[in-house]
Amino acid sequence: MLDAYIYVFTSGLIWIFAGAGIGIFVGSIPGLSGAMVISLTLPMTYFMNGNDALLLLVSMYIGATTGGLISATLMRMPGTEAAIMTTLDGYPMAARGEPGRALGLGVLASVFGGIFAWVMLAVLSPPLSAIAVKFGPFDIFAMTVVALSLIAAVSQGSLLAGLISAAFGAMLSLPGIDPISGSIRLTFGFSSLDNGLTLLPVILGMLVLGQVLIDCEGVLSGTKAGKAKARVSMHWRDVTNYLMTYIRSSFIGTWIGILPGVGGTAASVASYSVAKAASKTPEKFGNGAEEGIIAAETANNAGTVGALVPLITLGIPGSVITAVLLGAMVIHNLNPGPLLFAENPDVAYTIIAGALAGNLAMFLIMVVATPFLAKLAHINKAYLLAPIVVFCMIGAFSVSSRFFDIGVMLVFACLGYVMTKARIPTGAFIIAYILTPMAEQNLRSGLVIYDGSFLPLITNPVSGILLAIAVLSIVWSLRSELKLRKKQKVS
Amino acid sequence: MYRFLTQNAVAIVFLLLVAAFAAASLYGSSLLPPASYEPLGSAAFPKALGLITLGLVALQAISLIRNHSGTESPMDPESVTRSFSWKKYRKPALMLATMVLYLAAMSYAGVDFRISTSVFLCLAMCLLARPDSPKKVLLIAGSSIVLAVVLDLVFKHLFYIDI
Amino acid sequence: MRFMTKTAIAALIGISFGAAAFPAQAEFPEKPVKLIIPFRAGGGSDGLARAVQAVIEKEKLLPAPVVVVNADGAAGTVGTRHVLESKPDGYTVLQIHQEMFAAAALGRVNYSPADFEPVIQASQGCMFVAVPIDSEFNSLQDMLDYAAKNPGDLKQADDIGSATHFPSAQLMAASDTSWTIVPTGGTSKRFAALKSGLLDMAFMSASWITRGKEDLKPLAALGNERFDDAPDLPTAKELGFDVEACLNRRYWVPAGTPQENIDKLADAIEIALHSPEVAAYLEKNGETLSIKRGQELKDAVAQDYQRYVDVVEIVKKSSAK
Repeated sequence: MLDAYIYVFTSGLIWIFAGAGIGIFVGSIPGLSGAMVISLTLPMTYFMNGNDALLLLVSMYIGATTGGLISATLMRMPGTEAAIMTTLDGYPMAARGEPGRALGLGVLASVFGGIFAWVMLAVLSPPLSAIAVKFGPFDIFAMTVVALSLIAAVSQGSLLAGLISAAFGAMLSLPGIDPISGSIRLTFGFSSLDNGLTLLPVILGMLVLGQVLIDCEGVLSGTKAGKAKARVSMHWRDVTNYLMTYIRSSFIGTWIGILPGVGGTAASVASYSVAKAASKTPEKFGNGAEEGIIAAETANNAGTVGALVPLITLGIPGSVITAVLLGAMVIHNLNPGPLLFAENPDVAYTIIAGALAGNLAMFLIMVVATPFLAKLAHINKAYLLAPIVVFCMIGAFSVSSRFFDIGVMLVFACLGYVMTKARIPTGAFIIAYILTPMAEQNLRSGLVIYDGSFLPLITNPVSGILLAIAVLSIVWSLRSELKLRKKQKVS
Repeated sequence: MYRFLTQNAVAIVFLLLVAAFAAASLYGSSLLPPASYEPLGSAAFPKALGLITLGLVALQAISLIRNHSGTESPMDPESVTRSFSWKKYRKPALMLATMVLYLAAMSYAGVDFRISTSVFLCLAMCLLARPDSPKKVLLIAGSSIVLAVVLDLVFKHLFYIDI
Repeated sequence: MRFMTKTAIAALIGISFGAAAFPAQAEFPEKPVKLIIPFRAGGGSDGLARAVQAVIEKEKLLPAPVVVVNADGAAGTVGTRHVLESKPDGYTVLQIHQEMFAAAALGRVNYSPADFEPVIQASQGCMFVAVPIDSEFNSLQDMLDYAAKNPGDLKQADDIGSATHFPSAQLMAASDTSWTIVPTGGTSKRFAALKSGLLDMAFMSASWITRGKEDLKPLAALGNERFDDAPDLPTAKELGFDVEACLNRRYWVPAGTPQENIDKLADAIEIALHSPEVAAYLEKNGETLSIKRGQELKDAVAQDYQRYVDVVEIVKKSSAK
């Protein structure tokens, strides 16, 4: 075990820094996703030593998750899907002239979440994954219902607008192959739609190109250089002041990351809304709240590392990226699966040590780069938007090597533009779009297991408690919406 | 009536769009076979979500009309002070048109990635940055070509993306 | 200075656009051959394709490079369609296993294996029947008896309509019973489902014989021969059930491709398959080399497809109950 750490922190360092650097760079470019770059890099690692390949890919994964916060903060375009929640508070803070502060908070939160989850990974992997694997389809379904019920927290303003957006997103996630019966639905005879509307083109269209179109309207020059404080501020007291938010978000992020198939986006939604509910100043959320950035960024990085738990203990990938990592192990003859710790302990410990080193490398790179990145906020956006469009085109195309997905992306760009103009929150759309297929698949395969009975949903302790939490959170958000309306009427 | 339409143009367009998609979802779900593996079947989610969406659209439409007819000013100050004008949609529309042309050039016309991308980059940057001197235009054109060639090298020849 | 810049720009443009047109050669292939993998990077199909591609590249088995393109989506149909719609000239090649037959047999797609020309069969990866290690079943017969006595009670982790659902239906037909298929996903998801204790049985790929030896109990091998890793495990055929669940990885081109181009591709791939690199890859994935070409391959394709079509009705209604 010690050998693995020594290896990672000596000759492995070059791959760690290369991976983290490339990951951050790619993650920060809207249009290029972490999953894409890791899939594309995998074939190049065929000629590398297996441990080095894993170090490179794992630190790329960590870097890409963090890199997403850069464009989310500076341009309101999430570089990766897990950064959606970061746009809510990061961008307003950067726009009011504190890009350095916003980035600093995000970086500190990322490294905190990453290291926290690393501790869990290093110490508690086997018991945690043993619990996670006992989560049946109904339990996962209940989890997604909880995450969906938190949409009110991200709807920013009118609850009704948020609900329409969510229902719309949920609806558009359905065309394609039905996850249970395998039959094709809602494609109206167009075979190009057999694969449905894929996630990457939808996200890139609605959140990135939609924002590009919005930006086209306005004045394009960035924030005034004189006004903005480019200085990056990272203070120890941020950690002490918001310690509870850090720890809570790390817990939520790690745990949701461990559950197979739920993912970093759900983790940051959950942690953000819990932080908002627990905050003394919930009205600041959405207007550049420090806690908002911390909650979102801690959770998504914790989720990234958390997703490694089922991967190395059981060989079960919970996301696209971890599936590619699993492929990397197979290619390099490292025999992933429940016996990895027993038969290839050096590989298991190399990945664990790599997760730590990747986070530290990411932190170092970000600390050095952030002052320069913060200055990006002053660049005339006119010169950034066109290349971003090209990156999005390449990104959408790379999903299945076809132009159809670029067409889908352009349609969603129009939708995103119209929605932003109509003050409909796009975040709720994307979250529902991501979670609905998960909810449907788990609910219906649970029904197959329990012979068509819905009863176990309530009688199973885990799903029962989670559904109760979902109901409470819906009631709570309805109540606060009504209160808000009364206040508005009075004033 | 006219004022209502112009002030809420975007909101109305959006609601109509959503309603159309919901109707399509309901129609599509009616074509699906009945459930066979479990009680819900593949039509349940499309049907339920289509209905929920239509309901929410109706609620939102009612609240739009209410806000308008109420004596108090609507919650959205922008739509009151600034009435509807096509002018501000010109640039986004042009940008979208360039993107569509770019896609069409690559997919239907099969134009080489380097050529289509440098032309697109150049056009889009000129549209957005409004260069005021020929020198700037040349600079934009030059950097577009360089960027296009670099992207081609990285993505087509290093990563083998077949775009 | 100005002249210099101009020349530099001109040169750059020249290099970038000139590179596309290289001198014409008479011999196929004159330009890169695209090998379409209709699944994601890092999976079993992708791994074999990359290994073959690397050997072809290293040994210069073809005059032009082979480029692996991942076109994932809709259970392999997105990439398959991509090849179907390409020019039948041998420059677009598909590598897929029976997932193509599954989609066609169910009528999910408007093409069939007849729209393609098989180039060569490369490898075979057989599955085995697995139950959790603490399962009450100790033999295939135990399990089938239970299924017969308790209709719908036995639950198999699988994917409805996939290339493993069809062999499951074959086993149902051969044993004249049926059970419930619970959609879970690929092999690692099936493993998780067995470990959760909610499901009773799954077809797992051969590499899980060793990988899952502390968590899974194998009941029967589903190939024609026993596994080298588990010589004591009987095959289903030995036990009297005519079932075969093996993924045969094959290369295809669109129908109408000139035979000489097909032969050139097949020759290059066959040499690559005999290389130690590919052998090493196959071994660690529990697959065996299984080269078939020409008429032998066409017969095998026809037989495999027919066996899928035979059980399609069972697949469509294997909801038990």
